[in-house]
Amino acid sequence: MKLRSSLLYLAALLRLTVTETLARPLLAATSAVMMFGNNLIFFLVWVIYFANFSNIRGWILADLALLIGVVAWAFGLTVFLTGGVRDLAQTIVDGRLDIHLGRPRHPLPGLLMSRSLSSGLGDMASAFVFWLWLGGIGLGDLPLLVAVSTAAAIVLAATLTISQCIVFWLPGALSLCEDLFNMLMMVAFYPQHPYGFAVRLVLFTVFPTAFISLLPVEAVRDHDPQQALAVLGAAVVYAGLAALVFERGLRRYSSGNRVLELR
Amino acid sequence: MTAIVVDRLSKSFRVRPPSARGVLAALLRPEPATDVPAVRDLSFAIGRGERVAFIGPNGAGKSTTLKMLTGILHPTSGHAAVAGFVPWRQRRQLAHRIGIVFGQRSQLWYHLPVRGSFDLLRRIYDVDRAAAAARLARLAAIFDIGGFLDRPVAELSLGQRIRCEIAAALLHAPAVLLLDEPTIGLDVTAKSALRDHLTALARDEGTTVLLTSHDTGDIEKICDRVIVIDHGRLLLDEPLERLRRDFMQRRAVVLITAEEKPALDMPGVAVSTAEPYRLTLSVDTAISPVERVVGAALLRLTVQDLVIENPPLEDIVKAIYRGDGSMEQRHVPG
Repeated sequence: MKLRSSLLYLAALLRLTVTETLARPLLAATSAVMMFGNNLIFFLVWVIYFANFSNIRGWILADLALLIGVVAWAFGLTVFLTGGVRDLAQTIVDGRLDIHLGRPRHPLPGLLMSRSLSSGLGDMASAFVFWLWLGGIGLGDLPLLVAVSTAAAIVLAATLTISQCIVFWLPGALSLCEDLFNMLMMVAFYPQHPYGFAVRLVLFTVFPTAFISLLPVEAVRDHDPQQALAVLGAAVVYAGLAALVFERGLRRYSSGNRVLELR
Repeated sequence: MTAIVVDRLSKSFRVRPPSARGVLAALLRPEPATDVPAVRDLSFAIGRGERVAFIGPNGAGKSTTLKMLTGILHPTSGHAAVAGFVPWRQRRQLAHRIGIVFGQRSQLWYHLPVRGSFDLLRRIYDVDRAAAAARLARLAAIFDIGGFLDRPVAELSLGQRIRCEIAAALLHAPAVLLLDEPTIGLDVTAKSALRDHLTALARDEGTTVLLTSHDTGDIEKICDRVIVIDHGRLLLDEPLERLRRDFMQRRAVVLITAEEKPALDMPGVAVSTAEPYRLTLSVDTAISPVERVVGAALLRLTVQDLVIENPPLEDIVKAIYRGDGSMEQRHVPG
């Protein structure tokens, strides 16, 4: 009963956030088209690069297309369905959790789904171009690709949530949150071949771009179910971790005050 | 029956002042933290169905107290119960029994029709479809919002939006309604309409109302009891009638006249400011009712415009402080 109630609540929340974005169709379409074009232009850099070099440690242009498609899907899905994650830190610092805390639900879904960015639709649409046309992936691989990319989106949303929660402990760290986001996206968009142990440790833990781009690509390219399962497992672990960090941070919010915390 | 009990409630915030010795020094040897008290030993009780104004100057501790009563903040010491729940331990259970309106924060979805936000709130509070429809019909009648439920929030005036906000906070039929500055930013007509709607709601449904406001008009029109706090301490807890009699009998009357140096000499009327073509009077309504002062002004002067204002809250608090010793902390059990 409780699970049913929670699912109905999440469905209503999702419906409302998406409906609100699409309530301004021209704006939504423009943002989506702009992002679609933006991703293709970004890929042009790699086209020029691979015109001069045949591969980067075994990665060819088609692999890059696959990777950019995965990250575009993950990012697009994240900001389209849980766009509130982009300004979670600002929401916390502004003391705007109050309304969510006065409700009989966990505040995190309400906060994350309080906003939907229509540009995410452009990201998601561009993913299909990268996969099917530029990456040369067959239609048969598409279900697995969408599944692992969706799991990557959960890892991304969870990681962004954790990084934005830094402001619970460091209220002045808004720009640090933005820097972490930019770093995460920059690393995720680059080919991640096996580096040394220390780098791998970072990419598989605190900065988990391995689960956002490397493993999903390898899972599909090499038809490796283990890699796919690792991404799915990471999605569960990071989602739980995000909820845990948010709840720990909430204790500081509960014992804090907007004005005084800012000092 | 008691709706809200607050017993020796205190809240301090731990603040670390910024270091004047540079970033590295601040990291290695941070300044010692100090406790800043926001609420101190606050006690009061509010009965079911009471309409209480919870007022005080900026920084008095009103919002901190409200946040403790909704479970958002944990107190440093003391006890409170709202609708039978300890807020900071039973926040989610309590949420089903209270409605909260933060005047400057919206829970409506800006670009969607109002009805969409109500649909979500129905899911948030687990209200079944038929009950929610009946409740919405009733709230639409009380707050006169039926005409724009299908219009996007973005198209509503501020007054219409605030009425929708309050109706939204009441969809789950809470026993206690907490209002933080609900009329802030509203024009006179919208304020008046909202006050009437809130009074009707409290009268018809027996909802307990705890209201913070800087507008003494809200207090007079909506509430029947007033709790004043300052520097986190209880300053006064009185029925509205006594506050009105003791501290709110003055009104400001502003006259714009054709005369360059207007003057009006009447008992109980003092000149606050006199400027060319403009006279601001402080009227003690116990001695000279406002209508008599206005009547005299219209007879003796060529009045081109006039404004009657309630005394600002800060003036009331000052007046309470100026009162005799026994006035400083009178308490009327709820």
